[in-house]
Amino acid sequence: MKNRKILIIDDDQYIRLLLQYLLERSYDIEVRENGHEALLYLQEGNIPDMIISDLDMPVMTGNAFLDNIKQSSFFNSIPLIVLSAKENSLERIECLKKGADDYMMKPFNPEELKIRMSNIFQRMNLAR
Amino acid sequence: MKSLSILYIGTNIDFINEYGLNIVPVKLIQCETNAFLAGCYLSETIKLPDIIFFESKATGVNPFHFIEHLRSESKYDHVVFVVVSDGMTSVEMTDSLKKGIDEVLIKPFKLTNYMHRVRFLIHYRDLNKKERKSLKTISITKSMPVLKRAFDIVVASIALVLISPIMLMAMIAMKLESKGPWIYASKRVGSCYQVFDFYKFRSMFADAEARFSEVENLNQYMIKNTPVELSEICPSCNYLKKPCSPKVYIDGKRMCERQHLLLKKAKQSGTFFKIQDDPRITRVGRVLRNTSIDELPQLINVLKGDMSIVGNRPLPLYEAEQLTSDAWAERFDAPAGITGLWQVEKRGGGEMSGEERKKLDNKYARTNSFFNDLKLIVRTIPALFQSENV
Repeated sequence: MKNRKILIIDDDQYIRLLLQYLLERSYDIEVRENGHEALLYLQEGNIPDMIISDLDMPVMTGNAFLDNIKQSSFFNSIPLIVLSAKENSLERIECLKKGADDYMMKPFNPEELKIRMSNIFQRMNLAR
Repeated sequence: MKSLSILYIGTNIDFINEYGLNIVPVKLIQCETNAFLAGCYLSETIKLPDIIFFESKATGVNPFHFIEHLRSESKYDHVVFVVVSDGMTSVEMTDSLKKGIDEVLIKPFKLTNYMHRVRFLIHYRDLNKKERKSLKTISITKSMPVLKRAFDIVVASIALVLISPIMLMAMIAMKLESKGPWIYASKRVGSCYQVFDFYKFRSMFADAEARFSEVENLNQYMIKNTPVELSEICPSCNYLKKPCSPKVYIDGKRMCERQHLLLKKAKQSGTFFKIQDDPRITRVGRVLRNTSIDELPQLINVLKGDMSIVGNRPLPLYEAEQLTSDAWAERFDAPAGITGLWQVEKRGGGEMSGEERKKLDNKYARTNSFFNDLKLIVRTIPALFQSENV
């Protein structure tokens, strides 16, 4: 079976590396460093199976990216997990309201992230 | 935002009201009932529209073929194509995207709800082909240099042979004093966040793990003087006479979120866990620890390739998961090792805070090289003979 493709968006190179180490054994990884680059990547005709996005990023923030993909019929059904250092509950609620499937705070437990990801995939399989 | 010029292709007469085009800054420049007429208009007009809306049910040419045809001409490269549809399967969606349709709007919709998307697409079509290409971010994963690995194998093998009598003696002493295995394997996180079994000689009684809770509050790395004023009562709420941030309930206590986060931060400063005079340590264990003999089985980890002689200390899971943040994740990019920067930088020179150790780990990740590793080994030797009671 073909691996699922995960799009990782984070401006910090070590978080990108870490996520890559953690996930590359189970998934195909595509990495972009901000929301704008990620949107360009999607518009090129790529539809990943899941997106993991940071919030605070230069050029285009995770919030603006979320607004954008949730307004697109092409991308609004891609599950998205926000992974951010922002601890504020208002921020979390805002993202979830916009349609993020989950919100995890940095620092995060890698095992927990993996489980949350596979749970989302499992739910999608059941819904099908 | 400047008003956008629109060409509408379709037979729906009431589309302006229906799609809410009257409430966004758009200017309808032309409306055609079918693709053929639209084609005629486009070939004659001097100024092309910013957006072409196309009813998927418009008569005449198939909209997808029509758009595919337009996309093949470079003069339409800067025009946004939007298909208005009653519904599409996901395969049709993917197909549309690949054919150069910028967006599909499913009826009923109001364009006002899609302005983030419209703005991005206008911007996207304004870019030239090169700027439109997304920059692939490639993370270069460091692999263990061959020289370092060879050095590790040679040094670890020689060391194991040389110290085997000491290890044998330690093992006999352990068996004489208390029941339990010789080796205590704990899960540690090494380079690239790889979790592996980390070997030490057992220095505690076999039931030590179950007794963890009785010593938890003895953590030496907890902030010594956690500010007393960090109570559940928030000064800024007090001043404002109303909650300064949302109320949360933690452990049955009601406090404002701001204060909760401050308290949490203060507690987390104790990322590293170390206890002075742990009552769970056996007598032999204490000797093994003071002489660092308990660490010797890690040479087996080195031989196995789990870690290196020099590198960042592999961390227990609960410590590692607190470093997966922008500020500290760098340490996982470096090799894990028995001895490293912080073991030599400050040993004997007083206590080091968790923060300082984390900084040194990041520094090692930035500066490590084979030569620097050799220097660290030389500097570790005197440190080996200093006893620190932890």
